[in-house]
Amino acid sequence: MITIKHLVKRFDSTSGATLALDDLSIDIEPNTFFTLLGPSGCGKSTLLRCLAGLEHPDEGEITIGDATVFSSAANILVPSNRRNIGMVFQSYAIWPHMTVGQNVAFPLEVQGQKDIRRRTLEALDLVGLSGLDTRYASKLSGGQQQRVALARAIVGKPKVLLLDEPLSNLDAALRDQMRAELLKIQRALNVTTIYVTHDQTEALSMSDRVAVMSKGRFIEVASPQELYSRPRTAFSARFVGGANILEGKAIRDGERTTIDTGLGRLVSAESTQEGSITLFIRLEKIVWLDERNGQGVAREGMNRFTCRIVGRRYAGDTSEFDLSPLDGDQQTLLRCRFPADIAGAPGDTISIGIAPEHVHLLAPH
Amino acid sequence: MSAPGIETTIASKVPASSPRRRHFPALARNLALAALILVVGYLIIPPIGALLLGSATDTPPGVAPHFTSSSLVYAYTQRDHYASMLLSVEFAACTATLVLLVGGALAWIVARTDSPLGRMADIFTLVPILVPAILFATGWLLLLGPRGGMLNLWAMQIFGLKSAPLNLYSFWGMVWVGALQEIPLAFLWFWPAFKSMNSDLEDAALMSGASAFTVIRRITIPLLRPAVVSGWIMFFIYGLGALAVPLMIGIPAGYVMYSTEIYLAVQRIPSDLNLASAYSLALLAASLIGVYVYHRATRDLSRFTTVTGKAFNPRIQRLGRWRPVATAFGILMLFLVALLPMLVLLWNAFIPFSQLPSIAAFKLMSLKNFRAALEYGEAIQALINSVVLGIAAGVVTTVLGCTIAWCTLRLKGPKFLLATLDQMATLPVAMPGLIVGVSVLWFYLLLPLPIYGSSWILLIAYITLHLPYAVRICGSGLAQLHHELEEAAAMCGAHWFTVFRRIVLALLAPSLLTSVIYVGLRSFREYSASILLASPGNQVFSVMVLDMWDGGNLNILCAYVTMVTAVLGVLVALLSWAARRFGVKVA
Repeated sequence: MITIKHLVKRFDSTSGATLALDDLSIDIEPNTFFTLLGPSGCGKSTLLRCLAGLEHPDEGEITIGDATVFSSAANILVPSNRRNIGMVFQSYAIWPHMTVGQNVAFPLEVQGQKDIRRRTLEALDLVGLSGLDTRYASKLSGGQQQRVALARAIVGKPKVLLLDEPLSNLDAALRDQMRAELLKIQRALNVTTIYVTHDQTEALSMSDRVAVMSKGRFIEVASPQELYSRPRTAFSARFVGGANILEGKAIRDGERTTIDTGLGRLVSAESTQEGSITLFIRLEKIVWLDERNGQGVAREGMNRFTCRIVGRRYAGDTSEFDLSPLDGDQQTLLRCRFPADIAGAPGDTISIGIAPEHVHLLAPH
Repeated sequence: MSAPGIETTIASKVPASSPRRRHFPALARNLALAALILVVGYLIIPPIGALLLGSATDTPPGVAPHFTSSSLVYAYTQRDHYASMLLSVEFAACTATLVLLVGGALAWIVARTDSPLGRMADIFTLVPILVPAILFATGWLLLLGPRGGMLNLWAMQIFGLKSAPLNLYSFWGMVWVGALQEIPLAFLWFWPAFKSMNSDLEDAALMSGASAFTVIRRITIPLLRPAVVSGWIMFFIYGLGALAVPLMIGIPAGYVMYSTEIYLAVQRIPSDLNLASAYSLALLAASLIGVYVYHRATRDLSRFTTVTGKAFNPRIQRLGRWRPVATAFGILMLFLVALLPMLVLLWNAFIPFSQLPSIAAFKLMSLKNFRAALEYGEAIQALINSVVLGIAAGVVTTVLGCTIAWCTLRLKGPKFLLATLDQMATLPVAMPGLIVGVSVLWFYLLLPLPIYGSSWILLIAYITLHLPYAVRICGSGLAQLHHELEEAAAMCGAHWFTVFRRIVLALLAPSLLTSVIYVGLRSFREYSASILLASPGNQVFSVMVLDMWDGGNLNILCAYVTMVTAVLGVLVALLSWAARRFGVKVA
């Protein structure tokens, strides 16, 4: 549906030119939910705005459906108001001098379409705002404004829907609710959706595919499951899900690999070439070996370590622990998650285990 | 020049390259920008050029120019002229200092203490608009004049004195009136700065153990340094170029100030415009230097930023037993600055000559002055001219200013063109009304168009003088218009013009209205340029007032002014009501 080829965008500032988009190429399937995920400044919003036509890239090509909307080689640039794209802005951009109904009807009016009233009310129904069409837009709560923005974006039945961090201004409970509703609406309309966020929970729970971005580049593009369980870079591993990243020297041992790290010697069920390697272990995959506590039992082949608890943070359902290995590099700190009501204070010595299948090796950079 | 405005900063700056700008086809855009620069340039450059020409020649406009340095030599080698320059500098420095101290103190009391003077801000916004400089000076003449001044008569009566104890016709009399007149403006200068101070900065000092006094000395005052420095410069420049006080109080007192010299050079018979131009150069240079220093002082404003976009409510200082003192001070200032002059003008409108209220005086009250005012020469025509010119100037300047503001804030274009446009549009801030008067006068005497001697020359002068304010007001309105509001409309498929019409204009309407009213009112009460540019048949309100003063018809003047102020007050009230009704839709 959307094809991007070799997109480059530079920003000039007083300190020189920065590359906001660094030679990006991707294909996005029709009717899928595609998320751009990354930290601030990675270029995800810039990419979205290039798709919208609000920013003009310097080089490359963008095709939406059958139409080329941008091509530096052929000098094509279709303006924003002719791309037939729906967009929800981070600030919602609801016009304060119009009512909800007028806001939502606006696209239909300016495009000279028919049956405006019915379609406006239909869009408002879909987002759960029936009956509010005569209310002045500025008198709504944040959540309601966001739904108005959504209704306005979809009322014209666009081919593509762009969402720029639409949930970041909402509180946590509302965010959870809206995530589910957004997904429901997208499925109902079956529209190609590009979603920008820095929140990995949104990315994982809503998307068909996720593109992790950093410094204007795609670090990794994969499904949420692959991205979580099999990230291919330390950056993705850390950004999505939280991980303990360790460096070490790998030695092949049949089908397994042994790695010497600051933690100690680790056995991984994955195989790789010998030499320097980076590996990661998910926080929740570290097992506390303590039968008394109702925690895990040591199993055959498990990596076992004795550690001292250095820090503990309460987080409601779980607590996050910082562990320092008694043998091995004192500087290495292992982060893990255990049930919040478990007994264990800083200074205590505990025994932990990591199964070899949870020691993931990252592809050499 | 136009007095320091209600705004805290007058100069606008082109922001660094922002990605949120609208793209247009390059050729059309550059042509449009060039045209805009030409229009603004036409308003400013030729008159200044004429001024330079005038100083470098000794031939009047219209005659083939004979280049010589004699005008400049004469202007700057007369000892008297340096005396008048020095006098102007003394006057300006004294008034600026006094004004800042009192205005600052008042602003502090209203914004940061628990005194009940909260409404003062609103009153002080209106006063300088409704009581122009000439009226203010007249009012105080009627109060402290040595012969008929009411306060003097009253003191003589109470204390049994033979002669008036206070004489307004003195250097300190001039400073008194000059300073009082500007106190509302100084108040409005400091008030926003105080209101938006971040008390976290002061609280942090308190937590570190500092006493309240130390906090003020080492945190609050240093943070206010840019506002104080830039304020002092603005009021100093204004004092240099002021004309009402020097004319109406200075000359009778025997003091000739620099601005008076310029005025006299133009008005004497035969008019010596070359000399006036030569004098003007010094004033222009002083103003430009002042504005430059102002820019420098406010450039590292970020170091002193007390406002970061979030709304802060500063901590309120409890006054305790100082409360009645502070309140009394505020009320006293209100009296001196507004109520007293206005009341005395009103009183004198009804009596044939200045006297204290008494039974005898009440018997003499009549509407004679009003009738005389209606029949006075071109008084009514002048009023009509002023109203028409005010509205015209307001509308034209706002259209121009809004376009310029939109280009500098929203248009993606060559930075050089945009910066030039921005700088030129704010240049008139450094040009006192007197300078604009002399330069425009010269230029249109040169130009073979029938502009001199018509109302057009006044309109051009008003537009030139007030363009920076329109740019600033529309710019503020635009800056608050989040760019995503326009982008969302584009994403909905709207053509650029539809976006402009249905989103930008609709949301900008309150700012546009404010600009029209503000520029209109300032044009209405403008006098420094008007004196030089008005002519028989094209009189304006302020010149008429000066005419009446000149002829000694003070009571008729009061009646005239009372009528006009009443009409003006009603108009402003109507417009405010209309604006509020209109503004409700914008929420």
